[in-house]
Amino acid sequence: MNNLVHTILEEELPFGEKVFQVFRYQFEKNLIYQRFCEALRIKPEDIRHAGDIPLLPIDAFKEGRVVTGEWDKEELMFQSSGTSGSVRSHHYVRYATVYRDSLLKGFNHFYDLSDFVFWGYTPGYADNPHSSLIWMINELIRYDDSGLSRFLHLNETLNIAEIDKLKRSGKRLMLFGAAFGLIDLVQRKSVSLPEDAIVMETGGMKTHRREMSRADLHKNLADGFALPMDHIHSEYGMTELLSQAYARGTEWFDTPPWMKISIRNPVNPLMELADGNEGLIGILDLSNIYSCSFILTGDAGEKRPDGTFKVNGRWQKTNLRGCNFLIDRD
Amino acid sequence: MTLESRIELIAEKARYWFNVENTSLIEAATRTYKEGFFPKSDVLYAIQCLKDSVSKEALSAWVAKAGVSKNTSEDKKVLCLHAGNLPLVGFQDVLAALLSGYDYYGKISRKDPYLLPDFLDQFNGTPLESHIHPDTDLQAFRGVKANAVTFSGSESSIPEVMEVVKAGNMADDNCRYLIRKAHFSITYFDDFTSENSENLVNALLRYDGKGCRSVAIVVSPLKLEKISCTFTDYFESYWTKNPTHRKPSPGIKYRYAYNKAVQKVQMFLEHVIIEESIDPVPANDDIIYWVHGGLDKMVELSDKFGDQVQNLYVCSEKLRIPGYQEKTELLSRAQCPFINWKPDGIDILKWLFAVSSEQR
Repeated sequence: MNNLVHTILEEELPFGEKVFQVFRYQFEKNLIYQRFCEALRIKPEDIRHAGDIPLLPIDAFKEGRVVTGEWDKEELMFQSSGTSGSVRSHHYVRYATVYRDSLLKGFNHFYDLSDFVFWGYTPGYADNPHSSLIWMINELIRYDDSGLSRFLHLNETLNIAEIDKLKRSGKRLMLFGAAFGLIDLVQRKSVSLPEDAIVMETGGMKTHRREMSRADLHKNLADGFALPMDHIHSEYGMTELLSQAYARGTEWFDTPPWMKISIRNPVNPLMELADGNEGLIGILDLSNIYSCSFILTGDAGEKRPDGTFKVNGRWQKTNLRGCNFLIDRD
Repeated sequence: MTLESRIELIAEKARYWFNVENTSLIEAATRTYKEGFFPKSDVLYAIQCLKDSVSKEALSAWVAKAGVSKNTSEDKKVLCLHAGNLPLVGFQDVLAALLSGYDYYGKISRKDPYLLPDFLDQFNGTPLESHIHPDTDLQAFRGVKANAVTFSGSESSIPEVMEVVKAGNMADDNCRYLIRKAHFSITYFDDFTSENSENLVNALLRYDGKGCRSVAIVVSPLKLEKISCTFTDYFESYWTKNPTHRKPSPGIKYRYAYNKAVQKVQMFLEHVIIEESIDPVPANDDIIYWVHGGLDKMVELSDKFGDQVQNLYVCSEKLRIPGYQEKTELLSRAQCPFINWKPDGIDILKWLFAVSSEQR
């Protein structure tokens, strides 16, 4: 393992120091990222601020093998979900322990791991070994030694007796699920969860069949599970990232210390936007040390001075071909 | 006024307006390009194409093809919200409104403020009984209560437009809306003659690729790397004859760098990039996708993009895209369509008459 990997998750070390080391390392050892920077005519010595670092469009994970260093054996390979015929992202993870450490340390940064029993209302790990989300939930389930954590079967309803047992264990419940999976669960049967439970939605507010705003989703989930709104949390993660951000009862996501957000100008993604402006969400995730830590997503969002950020859905392209009558321009 | 008389009058006025000695058209066209709304070559090209496509015979054929045999739709009002992405983009809607006998209320684009109003001026004092009211200010149409409203939009722009129209009482309670959403066209390019290559370049670059008839995806049995050298000459020749106003967007350099990073074959043409792709997602108008494949690929992409696709072009009259006969057109007509072409597959004239009959 590279020595850097031992320091990236150290909370005592300032992000500003680590990020330049990771940038230089990936510039030298990640051929895709190196070609990207060179085509932009950017060299490590040109970078003065983290906001100057070029962010690789996330589609690179669909179109290339995004790895840092010379290795061809990965311990894990994650693949994005997608419709048939569409090209999927692939994230090659050299060491599983890097993802595990990032996940558990990141979770512990915001919650207390030992407090929780984890339920995953998602397909099981055995059926989806290449889903980074399911791997993550599986790790959390494995971490809990109470024997109460598990994946729920899809189409099952929540079991009252099991909830009572959980209450008696003295642990709190954290229920993970994708937006519409959780909605289906609630609609199948409304069940009051223990009052200290947390529902963690993992995104997916827009599918080919349905669409819902995050606010409406959370309201529905709070009503359906008889929980206060601030017990409905969100996780922001993706196949291409080994760190997660969490929104704990608000629309603003917090990042662990080794992950920062940089909102970029959609017209010129080399330009970082000031706090409060909407743009493309860029992510600097140091735990992606062996792939690429500097990623430009296709999501729209904005950041506050405290580093928290809000996700406003997919970025709507404005310079589409075709007639498009615009009130303010036409 | 009968339909036949309308056709005659409109054809006559159009013939006069498009005349090379029409000083008011010359002035409107000159102002349009001198004030930087569009490049001169695009303005002249749009005028020439419309001139060639509007005649008494063409209008009669359009009316016949639309299946319209009745007289006109007096007392009906249509509000047309014209976008300004290319010169004279609303001309077909104007003709349809006048032919059908609707009162025409036209929100003229601030990006194309001279040409359509100048054409409409021809009808002042004519026996045409329609009320004609063009204006660049949308608020001028408050309280119009139109029976029909037409505009083009995208998922993000439509709600705002609808809200403004409704809030301003611009549409009647029973108003029908024709909202066009097609963004781009696809071509199948299998015949690399010089003429076809020039047609392709025109289909890609004319109007800076901003029309829904502009080609965003090229499907070809030949790979981009095999033809890029030859095509560079056609592009250079096009830009020599048709200098663009367009400045290269900063984002295009980003895209170029990305393509270099993932080692994608590309042609970097300063204002646009043509890149080889297996999974194109047409979004920005400065990226053109070159997809290696045959007719089956063409069908697959047409299925995938559905209503977003305006037309499918081919090089030869003999070729049709299976399952998409209606959408198939000749590449040579991409930027110069017949007057009765169907944006989003809908004949505006037929639609206006249908709305009128419904509300009678």
